[in-house]
Amino acid sequence: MSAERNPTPLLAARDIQKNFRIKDDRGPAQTLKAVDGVSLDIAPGEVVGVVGESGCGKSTLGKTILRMYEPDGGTLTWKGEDMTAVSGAELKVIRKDIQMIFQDPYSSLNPRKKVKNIISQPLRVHAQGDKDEITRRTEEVMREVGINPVYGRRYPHQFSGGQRQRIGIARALALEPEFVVCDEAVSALDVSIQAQILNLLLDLKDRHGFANLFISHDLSVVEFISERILVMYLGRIVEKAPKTELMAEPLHPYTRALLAAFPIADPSVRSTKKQIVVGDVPSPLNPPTGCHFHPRCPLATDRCREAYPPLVEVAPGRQAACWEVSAG
Amino acid sequence: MSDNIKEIAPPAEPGFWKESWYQLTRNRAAMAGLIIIAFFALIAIFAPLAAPEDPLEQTISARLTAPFTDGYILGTDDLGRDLLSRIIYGGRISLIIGVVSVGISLTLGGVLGLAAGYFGGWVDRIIMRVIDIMLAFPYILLTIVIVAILGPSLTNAMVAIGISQMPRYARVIRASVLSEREQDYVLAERSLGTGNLELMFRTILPNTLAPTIVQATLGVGEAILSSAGLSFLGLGAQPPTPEWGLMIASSKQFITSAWWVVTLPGLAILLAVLGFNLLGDGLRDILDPRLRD
Amino acid sequence: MTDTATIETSATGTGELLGIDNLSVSFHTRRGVVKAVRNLNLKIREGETLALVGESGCGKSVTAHAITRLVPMPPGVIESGIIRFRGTNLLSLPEKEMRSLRGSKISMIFQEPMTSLNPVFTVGTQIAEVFVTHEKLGRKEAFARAVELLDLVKIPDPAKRAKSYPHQLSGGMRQRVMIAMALASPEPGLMIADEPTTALDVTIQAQILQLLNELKKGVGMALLLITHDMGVVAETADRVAVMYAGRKVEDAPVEELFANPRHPYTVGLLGCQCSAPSNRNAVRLTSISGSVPDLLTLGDGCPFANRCGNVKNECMESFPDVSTAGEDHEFRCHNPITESGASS
Repeated sequence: MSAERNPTPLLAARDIQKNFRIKDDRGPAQTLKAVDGVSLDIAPGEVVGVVGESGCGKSTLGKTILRMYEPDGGTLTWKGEDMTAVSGAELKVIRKDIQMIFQDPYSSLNPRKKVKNIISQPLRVHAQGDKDEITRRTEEVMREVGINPVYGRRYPHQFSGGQRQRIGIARALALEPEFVVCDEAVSALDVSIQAQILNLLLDLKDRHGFANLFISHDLSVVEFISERILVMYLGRIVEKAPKTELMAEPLHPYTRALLAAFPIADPSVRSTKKQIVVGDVPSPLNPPTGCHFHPRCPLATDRCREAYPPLVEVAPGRQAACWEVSAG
Repeated sequence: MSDNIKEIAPPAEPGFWKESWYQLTRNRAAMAGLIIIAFFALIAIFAPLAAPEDPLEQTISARLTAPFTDGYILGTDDLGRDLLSRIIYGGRISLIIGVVSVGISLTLGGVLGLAAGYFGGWVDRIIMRVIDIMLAFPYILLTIVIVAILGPSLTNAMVAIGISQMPRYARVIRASVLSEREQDYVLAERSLGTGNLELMFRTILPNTLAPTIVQATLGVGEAILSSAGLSFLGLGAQPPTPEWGLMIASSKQFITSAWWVVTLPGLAILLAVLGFNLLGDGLRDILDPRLRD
Repeated sequence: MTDTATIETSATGTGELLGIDNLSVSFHTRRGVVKAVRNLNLKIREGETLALVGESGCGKSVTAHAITRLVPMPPGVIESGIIRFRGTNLLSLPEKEMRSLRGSKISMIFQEPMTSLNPVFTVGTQIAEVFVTHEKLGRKEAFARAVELLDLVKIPDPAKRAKSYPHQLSGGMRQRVMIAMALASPEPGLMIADEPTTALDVTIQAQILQLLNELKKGVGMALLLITHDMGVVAETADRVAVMYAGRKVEDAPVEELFANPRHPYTVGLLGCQCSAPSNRNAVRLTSISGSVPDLLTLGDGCPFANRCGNVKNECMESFPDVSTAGEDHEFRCHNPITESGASS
C-alpha cells in the first residue's frame, strides 16, 4: 500500500475508518466519517507529526490507533501482530506499551485523586511489582518530569497548567511505553511553558527511545518536533512527507494554504505574504464531493469535483492526494 | 534539559473541601441550618442526659400540665408524660429515620444511577424506565403503598421512604456520571486498562459527590417529614414510641384545650426540616462549580 | 459630551487616541490582593494597531476591561491611574456616558464570539440594533445597513446570512459578525480585540487578520490587539507592548521589537516560539525556565527576576525605571540585553 521506509514498523495502520453517528433533533441520524481510510506506519523511536484544522479527524485518529475508540474498518498491527481483533487480557498487554498524553491538563487528571495515585495507577493496573516498588518507580518518574515527589500528596488543581501536563507525561511514561500518542499535548499551555514541555518530551524520548505520534493544529510545533509529517483534511491524509521536504516544498494545495496561513513571527516578511485560502472548513458531516478541498482549492478542476484523488507517491518518500500534483 | 529538572513548588491552593467549608461559613442561611442540625444531633446523642424525665413514664396526676408549671418545662401530654423528654427522644428517632432512609436510597439510587450512566445503552434504558415509572407515582402514595405491603412499623417506614426517595438519587448520580464519563481523565484511566468496577467506583463516583451531598441533605429533611406523616397516619412508629408525628396524631383531640401537645412536636419537626433544607440549599450554591468564582 | 471629565493639561495633540497613565488594577480576594496591573503607561495613536502581548495572567485582558470599564467591582479595584480617550478621562466618566461610548467609539471583540452574540436573534437584527440605538434609524433601513456591513466583512451572500442565527454560522463567520457589529458604530475610534483569532483554525485566522488589517486602513480606526501569539503580532501590529505579571516590560514599534528586543523576557518570549528563526533546525527550543510568579505574593522587585538569566541583586529589590533605546522604544530592566545580544 505504501512505501514507508521501515520494513517492520512498530505500529501499522491500514485503511482505518472511524464513524460517529450524530443524532440531530431534526431528521435522521447522520454518519460522521471522522477518519476515512487512513494508513500510516510508525517505526520504533520515530516521531511522526499529524497536523490539520478542527474537524480533520486527527484526534480521533490518535484515539482509534490506541483503541480508545473501536475502529469501524481497517486493521491495526502492533509489532507485526494484528491488534484490531484482540480484547481483554491480550489488549491489556499491548496497552502497557502504548500510552497517550492529552491536550487538556485540567480534564485529563482525576480531580479527586492524589497526584502520586494518578501517576502510579498504570503501575498498579498492570501489577508492576509490590507496593514499595511501585512507590519507588512513581517517585523516579516524577523526578524525571521535574515534579518533586514531596508534592505527590497534593491534588491536580493545586498545580499550574504546565506542572499538570508534566503529571500527565509522568503517568504516560510510568510503564516505559514504546509508543506515545501526544494529542495536542502543548496546545493549552503558554508559549514559555510550551517550550519547556516540548524540550522535556524530547529529552525523555532521547533517553527512553519511544516512538511518538504528535498530533497538533499548530504547524510550527509539529514542524519542530517531528521527523515526518502527515497533513489531514476532513478525515483523510492529503499529504505525507519528511519534515524538511514538506516545509521546503509543500505539494498539496491544502498544505500550501496551511503554510501560507501560518503567522510567521517576523514582521519583516509581512509584505511578502502569500495567497490566503478562501472559504470555511466544510462540515465533516457533509464533506464536499470528490476531493474534499476542491471548493477552496485554486487548482480545482472538474475531475477534482467528481472523484477523490488517491494518496500516491509523487516523489521519493513523498505522497500526496491531489489530481493536479500527481498529474505533474 | 536544565529547565526541566529545576521545578518550582506548586502554588498552595486550598483543597476543594477546605474551600467549600470556608464558603459555607460565609453563607449565613447554611450556617443557621448547620447549627440547628448540630443542636438536634447533640441532644439526640446525649438524650438520656438531656432529657429531665423518662419519656415513657406516665404521671396520670400531672396530665396535660401547661408548660413552665410544676417543673415541666414544656408541659406534659394526655398521659402525663414529660413533653420535653419525649421531644428530645423523638429527635433521636427522627434523625435516625432521616439518616437510615437516605442511606437506603443513596445505596440503591447510587448503584442504579452509576450503572445506568456508566454502561448506557439498554442497561440505562431499563433502569431509567423503572425510575420513570416510580416517579410517576405521587411520592407519599408510593411510600404508603410500600408500608402497607410491608406492614406498619418504624423500620418498614424507613425502608419505604428509602425506596420512594431512591429515584431522585439515581437521576442525580446518573446525570453527573454521564458528564464525568466523557472527561479525558476517565478515558485516560480506561486506556491504561483499568477495569469497569474500579472506573465506576474509584474514578467516577468520587467526582459525583458534590451534587449527591446536596440531594442527600435535602433528602434527610424530607425523610423526617415523611416519617412524621406516616406515623401520624399510624403507618410508622407505634405507640408509645416518642415519635414527633405520632405525638401529634395521638394528642390531636386536645388541640383546643392544650395547644402545646400538638404545637411543640410540630415546631420540632419544622425546625429540624428547616435546618436540613437551609443547609442543603446553601450546599447547592457552594458545591455547584458554576456558581464558584 | 460634558467637559467635567476632560483633563486640563494632557499630552493630547500628538495624535494620541488613548493614553493610559499609571494604571493599577487589583483584585481583592480572600487570599489577598492580586495586583493584576501595576503602574501601566500605554499610548495608542489614531489609526494605529497596538499589540498587547503576554502570557496568561500578565494583565493584558484586565487592561482591556479597565479601558471599557468592565472590570468586575468588587473584587476589582482601580487603585490609580488615568485612561484618556481623546482627552477625556474614562475612569471619571459617569456610567451613562461610558455606556454610550462603548459600542459607539470604543468597541470590543472577544475570543469566543458565541458568548457575545444573542442566540435568539438573527445576526442581521443584532447589527441593525446598533444603528437603531445610535443613529435612530428605522428597522428596515437599519437592517439594510447591517447587510451592507456583512458584505464589508466579506461574508458571502450577506442578505441571506443576515437572517441566520449565531449558531448557524461557523466560528470564523461569527467573528466576522462581531467585527461588523463593531463597525456599525457611528464613529469607530478604537477597536479592542481580545484574542480574536485564538479559537479559530489557522486558515480562518489568516482571513480574519487580513480583514482586520484592511478594515483598519479603510475606516481609520485604531486597534488594540490582545494576543499571546507572536506570529499574530508580527503580521498585524504597528507597535507592541509586552506585559509580564502585571507590568509592562517593553514597548516598541513592531520591527524594532523583533529586531532589537532589550528586555530578557521579550527575548525569551521571542526565542521560545517554535516558529522563531533561532529555533529552525535547533535540537531544543530556547526556553524560559520556571513559571509565572504568584501575583498574590509578588514583591516590588522585577517580577521576571526569578526566571531571568540576566538577574542582578537590584532586580530583587526594585522595579527599574523606564529606559529608552532609540525613538519610541522603551523598556524597564536593570540589566538589559544589549543590541548585539549579549548582556551588558
